[in-house]
Amino acid sequence: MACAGALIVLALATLPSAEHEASNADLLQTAETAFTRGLATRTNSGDAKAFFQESVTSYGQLWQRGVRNPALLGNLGNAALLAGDLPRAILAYRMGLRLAPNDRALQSHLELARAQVDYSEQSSFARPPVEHRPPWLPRVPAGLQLLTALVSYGVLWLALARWWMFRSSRWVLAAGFAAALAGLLGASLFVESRMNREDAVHPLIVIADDGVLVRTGNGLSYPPRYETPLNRGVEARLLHARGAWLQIELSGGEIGWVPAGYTIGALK
Amino acid sequence: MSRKTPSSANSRRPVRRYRSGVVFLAIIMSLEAGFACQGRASAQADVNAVAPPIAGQPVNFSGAIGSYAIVMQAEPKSLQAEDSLTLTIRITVTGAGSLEQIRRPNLKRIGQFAKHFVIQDGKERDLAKEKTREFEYVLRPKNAAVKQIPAVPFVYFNPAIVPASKGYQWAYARAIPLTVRPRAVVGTAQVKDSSPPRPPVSVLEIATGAVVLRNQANFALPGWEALLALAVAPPILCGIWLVSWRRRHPDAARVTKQRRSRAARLALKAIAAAAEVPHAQQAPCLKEAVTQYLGERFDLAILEPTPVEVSTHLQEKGLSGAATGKARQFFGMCDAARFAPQVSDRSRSWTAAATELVHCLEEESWPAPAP
Repeated sequence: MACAGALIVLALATLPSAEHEASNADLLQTAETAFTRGLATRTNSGDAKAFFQESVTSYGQLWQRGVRNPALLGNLGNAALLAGDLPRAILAYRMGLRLAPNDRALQSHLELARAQVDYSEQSSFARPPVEHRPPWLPRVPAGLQLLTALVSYGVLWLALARWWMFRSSRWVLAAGFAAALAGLLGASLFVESRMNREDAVHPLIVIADDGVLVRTGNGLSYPPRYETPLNRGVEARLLHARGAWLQIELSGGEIGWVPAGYTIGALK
Repeated sequence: MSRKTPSSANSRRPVRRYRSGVVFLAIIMSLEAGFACQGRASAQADVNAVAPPIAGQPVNFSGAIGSYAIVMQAEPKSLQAEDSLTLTIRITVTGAGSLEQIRRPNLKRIGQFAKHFVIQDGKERDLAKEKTREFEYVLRPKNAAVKQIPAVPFVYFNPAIVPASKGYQWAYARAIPLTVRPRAVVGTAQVKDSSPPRPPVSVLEIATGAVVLRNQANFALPGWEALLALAVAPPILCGIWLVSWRRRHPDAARVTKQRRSRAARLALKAIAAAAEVPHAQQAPCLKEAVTQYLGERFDLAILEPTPVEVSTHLQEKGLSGAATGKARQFFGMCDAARFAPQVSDRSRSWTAAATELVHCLEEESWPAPAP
């Protein structure tokens, strides 16, 4: 009896899920069809953009339904880029890279999108942060890092125990190596975890219009903090929201307020 | 002598009066002129001394104090999108105020300008006679949707207006209508590389199928409880392993303890190094190594001990007769090799003897645990 009850509960739990899945599949189909039609009508820029924009909308709805993967974000970014929606494309690529840091296609598309942003000055103001990591150096997935760190930590203690038993310097060497590896991976994981937390607390936003001035306060009566306005595609972190104004931090550490209507935020 | 007729006298009286009046007027006028100059100077000084109130200060306050007017003109007014036009803004001092206070209006801070034009600052010059400062800009309308050059505000503070909070004044240069034509279409034959910039092929491709619908969460570290457990588990397990190992291998534990003697380890290392030198020179090296070991391990303070001194010291330390006998024998052998090499036993390996002695002394000083 209890088993039958459990089966009913299970069926009830999976029924909406199946419906949801079908609906997601429909949305995906819509997005893909619109994208294909956009490609087919590329000679007519206006029509093509409308199709790509439709594709963006459908992919965006999938995201809003909780579908989270780099492929979806890559598609969304591509569709937005072709639709001329530069800010959304940058946002999608950035979020995709958070999920798949080693995705070369996302990296190159993000560079392509950033190259189209009209940064107002030759200085580093409002420009995205410079990546100092060599491109050939792969990013180890966090799960694998955690596993390796734990194994290294275990090996460290095993080596210490063996050294205690036999007093052989080889075990000290092994323990030192394991400690170094565990420490390195632990630090890397800690940094990654902090970055994820930072993403959650201060999500990425992208300026959606040209000529947006960063002001000293949350109102037009406040003077601009910087003379150079921000153009569409400039990336920033959201620090605080007050009414229709957002306090943002640019990659160079510059902080100020911009109207919320001139930004697009994390795809939630 | 000419005589003045009354009539002439009478007629000259008004002239004299008139002259004196002119002189009086001249004096008055010169005084007034002096006062006026003084007044202007003091007004100028006042203008310079005035501090505009912070409360209610407009965002785009130019910093100018006094009274000003602003006009602008553009040339040409009909052009293609992205072509350049020259905008000249003239700001004139109309009352109190000075040219020095007039700063270049920053058009990039005016939203309508930043949105519709690419702005480049040009020359600026002072026209002192006209009390005017002139600023030039090169503007490029971004597209054909641009219909006008927006009005340019110039905000100054007029100290003559009371109360001071109402002294901020806005002067506007009127907007200038523009006719911006779309850029002429350039034929493909007219350009060398006729292919439009195309995005890479990869942008035209999308992932399809189930891979787009799967879920992948961001990495998050496990909770602190799990991390604590993972951190504590290995040392605990290793500790348990160590204890059980020592119980199962008591001899091995004792040997390990012996190895822990740093002095013995160093002595054995020195003995191994002495094996490399010629046989005749080995004895002094070995004696030095073993003496140092005894000094560190058994507090033997004598640098050049005799065999008897060594055996006596070790006996005092509680070592067995066998061990002290071995030590005495080894030191005697070393002395013989040093002072009577012809009678010393050449067939014996001195390094082996030294090693044996160290092991024997370690064995006795770290007794095996009771079974």
